[in-house]
Amino acid sequence: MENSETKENWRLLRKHRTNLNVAGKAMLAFGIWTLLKLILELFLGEDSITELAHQITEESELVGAVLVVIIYILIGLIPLSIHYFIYRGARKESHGKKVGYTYLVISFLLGLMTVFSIIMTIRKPSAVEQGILSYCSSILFDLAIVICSIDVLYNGIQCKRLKKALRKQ
Amino acid sequence: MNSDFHYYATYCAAAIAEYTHEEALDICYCAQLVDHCTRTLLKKLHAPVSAATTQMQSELIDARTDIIGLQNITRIWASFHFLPRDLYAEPGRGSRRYKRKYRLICGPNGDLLVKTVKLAKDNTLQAVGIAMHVLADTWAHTYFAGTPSLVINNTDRDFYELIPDGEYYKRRHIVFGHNPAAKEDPETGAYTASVYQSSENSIMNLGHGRAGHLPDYSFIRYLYMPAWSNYEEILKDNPHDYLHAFAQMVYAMQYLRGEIPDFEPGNYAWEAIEPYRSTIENLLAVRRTDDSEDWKALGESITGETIRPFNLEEYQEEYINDHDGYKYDTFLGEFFKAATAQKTMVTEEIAKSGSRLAGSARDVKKSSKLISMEDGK
Repeated sequence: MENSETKENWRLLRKHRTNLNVAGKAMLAFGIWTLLKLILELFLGEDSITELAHQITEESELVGAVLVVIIYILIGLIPLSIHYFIYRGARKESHGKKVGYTYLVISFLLGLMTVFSIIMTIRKPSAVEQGILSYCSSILFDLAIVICSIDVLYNGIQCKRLKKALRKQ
Repeated sequence: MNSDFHYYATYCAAAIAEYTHEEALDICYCAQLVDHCTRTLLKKLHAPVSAATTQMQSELIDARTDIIGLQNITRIWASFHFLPRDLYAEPGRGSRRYKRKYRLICGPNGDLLVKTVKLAKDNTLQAVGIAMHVLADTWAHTYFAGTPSLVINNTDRDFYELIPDGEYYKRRHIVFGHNPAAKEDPETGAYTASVYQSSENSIMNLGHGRAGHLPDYSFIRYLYMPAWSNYEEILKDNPHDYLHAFAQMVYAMQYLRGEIPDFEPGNYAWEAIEPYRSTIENLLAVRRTDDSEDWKALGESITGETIRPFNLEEYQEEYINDHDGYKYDTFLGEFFKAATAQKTMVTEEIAKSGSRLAGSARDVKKSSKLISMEDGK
C-alpha cells in the first residue's frame, strides 16, 4: 500500500511534469519565433539582401546574396537549436524518461543571457528611437523567455527531486 | 455503455425484477432508444424536438457553442447520459464558473438519481426504461460531465490500462488515435478518442470524448488523470462498476414494481442477482467491445423467451399514422412525454443550484420552438 507521503509525491511529480511539458513547448515556440524574426528581418528589414551582399563581397551579387541567406539561417539556427535542446530535455523529463542535467544548465544560461539582453536594451537609449512599440515588444519577448527558463528550471529540478524521493520510498 | 448493456442487460435486470417478458422488452427498448432519439429522428417523425435524448455526431458538429447552444447540449447530455452526482459539491479552489461546471460531474448514487427513479414510479414502462438508461450511465460515465468543458473533461497522456496478469495487474500506456473510422482493438490497445482542442467549450471536450469509448467497455480498468482532479490519478474499474449498475437496476425496478417501499441510494439487489452473479462477472470480464450475445443468452435463459433484436423503426409507423390528438398515447408518444419530464426535472434542479448551464425548465418547452425557428420552420 502506498502511504500518504508517497501518494502526495506522485501527485506533485505529475503536476511538475505537466508544467515542464508546457514550459518546454513554449521554449520551442520561442526558438521558432526567433528564427522567423531573423528571416523576416532579412526580407523586410531596413537593409535589403543586395545591400547586405555588397557588404560581404563585391565580386558577385548572387554569391553575396546566397552567403547572406546562409549566414542568417545559421545565425537563426543557433538559438533555435538551443531552444530545441531545452524542449527535448523537458519533454523527456516530463514523459518520465532518463535525462541528465544539461538541459537545465542550458536553460539557466539562456535565462541569464536574456536578463543581460534586457538590461542592455534598457540601458541603450538609441533602442527607443527605433520605435517604442518594437522596444517594448522586444523587452516583453525577452521577459517571457526568462519566465519560461525559470519555469523549466524550477519544474525540472522538482521532477528530479521527487523522482529521487520516490526511489527512496 | 453500449446496446449490449442498455438493451440486453436491462432486459435481464427487468426479468430478475420480475417484470414479464413483454414488459421487460418494452423497458429495454426504451432504455436503448435513449441512444437513438435525436433531433433528426424526431423531425422525421414530426415529433417535438424538445424530447431529444441524444445528439448525432453531425448534429454536434453543427451545434452552436454560444450560451443557448451550450444549454441545449447540456440539457440533453446531463439529463440522460451524465447525470450530475452532486449539484452542491465544493471543488475547493476555482472560480464560480469552474464550480458550476465541476458540479455537473457525473457519478452514481446522487440525489438526482433518486429523483430520476422516483419520477418513473407509478409511471409508464417508457419512463422506467429511460430511468434505467440514466442509472446505468451514472456508473459508466463517472468522472465526466455532460457539458463541453476542457477544464473538466480533458485527459492527458497519463492514461493507462490495467491488464490482469496473474494475481496482479500490469499497466499498459494508452495512446489514443483520432481516426473515428478506425477499428478499436482491446488486444493491441488501439483506442480512439476525440482530438485535443484548447477551446474550453469545444464539442471535442463533451462528456468522455477525450477518453474515447473506454467508459463504455465493461471489461476495462484504467488509470488516468482527469483535468479536474488536481493531479490525482483515478482508477476506473468498469467490471466492478457495471456489476453495481446491474444490481442497482434490479433494485430500482423492484422499487418501481412496488416490492420495496423506498429507493435509497447505495442499495443493490445482491440477493436477487446471486444465482446469475458469476455468469455476469465472467461475461463482464471478457475483453471484447460487445457483450450482446452473452447478455442475450442470459436473458433468454431467465425468461425462456426469445429476445428480439432492437429495431429502431418498430414503433415509428404507429406514431406517424396515428391521429394528431392521440399521438401522445402511442408507444413513442409516451416515450417522448417521459423524456421531456426527465429533462425538465434535471434542468430545473441544475437551475435551482444557481447554475444557468442547462438553462431553465421553461427553455425545455421553448427549445422546441427555437430549434424550429433555426431551421426556418
